[in-house]
Amino acid sequence: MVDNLSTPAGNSSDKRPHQAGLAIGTNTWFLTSSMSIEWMVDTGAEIACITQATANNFRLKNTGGSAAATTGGGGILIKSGLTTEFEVIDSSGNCTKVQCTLDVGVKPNNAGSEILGMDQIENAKAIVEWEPKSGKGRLRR
Amino acid sequence: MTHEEFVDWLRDEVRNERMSESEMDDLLRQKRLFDGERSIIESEYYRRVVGYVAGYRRVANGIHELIDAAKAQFPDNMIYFEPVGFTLL
Repeated sequence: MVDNLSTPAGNSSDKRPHQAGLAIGTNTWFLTSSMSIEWMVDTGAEIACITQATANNFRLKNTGGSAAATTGGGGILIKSGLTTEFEVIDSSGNCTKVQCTLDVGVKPNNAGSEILGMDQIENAKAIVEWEPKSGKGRLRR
Repeated sequence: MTHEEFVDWLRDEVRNERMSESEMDDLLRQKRLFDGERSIIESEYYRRVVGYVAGYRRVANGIHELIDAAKAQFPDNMIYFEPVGFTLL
C-alpha cells in the first residue's frame, strides 16, 4: 500500500509522523494565499495548532484563548480563517487532497511543529496508521 | 503560562494588529471571571472544557463543541477557556 506519512524531511531519526501539506488563508493584501507546511500528525492533539510565524502570514479572526491549554502549561489563541490541506488515501488506494476549515490554535511562539490534530483527522473521516520502526504510515479512509 | 505572560502575549497581538484592543479587553474580562471561579470549576468539571463568553460560563466535552456553542450564541465575543484536568495538546 502507498504511504503518505513519513519522518520529517531531513531528520529520519525523529520517529513522529509527518506529511507535506498546505495552510491556506487570506493574506495581508486580502488575497487568497497558501504556504507549504510540514504537518506533524499528533494523536495527542485535540486541536490543530500552528506556530506564530505561520499565523502571521494570514488574516485570521480571533475566537478565544487560554493561558493553560497545553502540556507544560502553555497558552493558545483560537483563530478562524485558516484552511488546512493534507492528503488521505481513499478506500480504492487513491491519494486525495482534503481541506478543513475548523478553527485552529496558534502558539505563542515558533517552537515545535505545525500540528495536525485529531479534530482535522476526524473531520476528514480518516484514520492514522503509523509504523515508527520503518518511519512510514498512512492517513487513510 | 502566567497571567502576566498571557497579558504580554495579548498586548503583542494588539501591537502587531493581529487582535483589536476590544478583543483583548473582552478576553481578559472573561479570564478574570474564570480565575474568580477557578476552585469551583476545577472541582466540578474534571475532564471537561470550561469557558467564559460574554460573562456566561459554558461547559463542553471538547474544544470545538465549546467554540461552536459560544460562536452560535455570542458571535462577536471572545471566549476564555481551559481544559480541566487534561491538556488539548
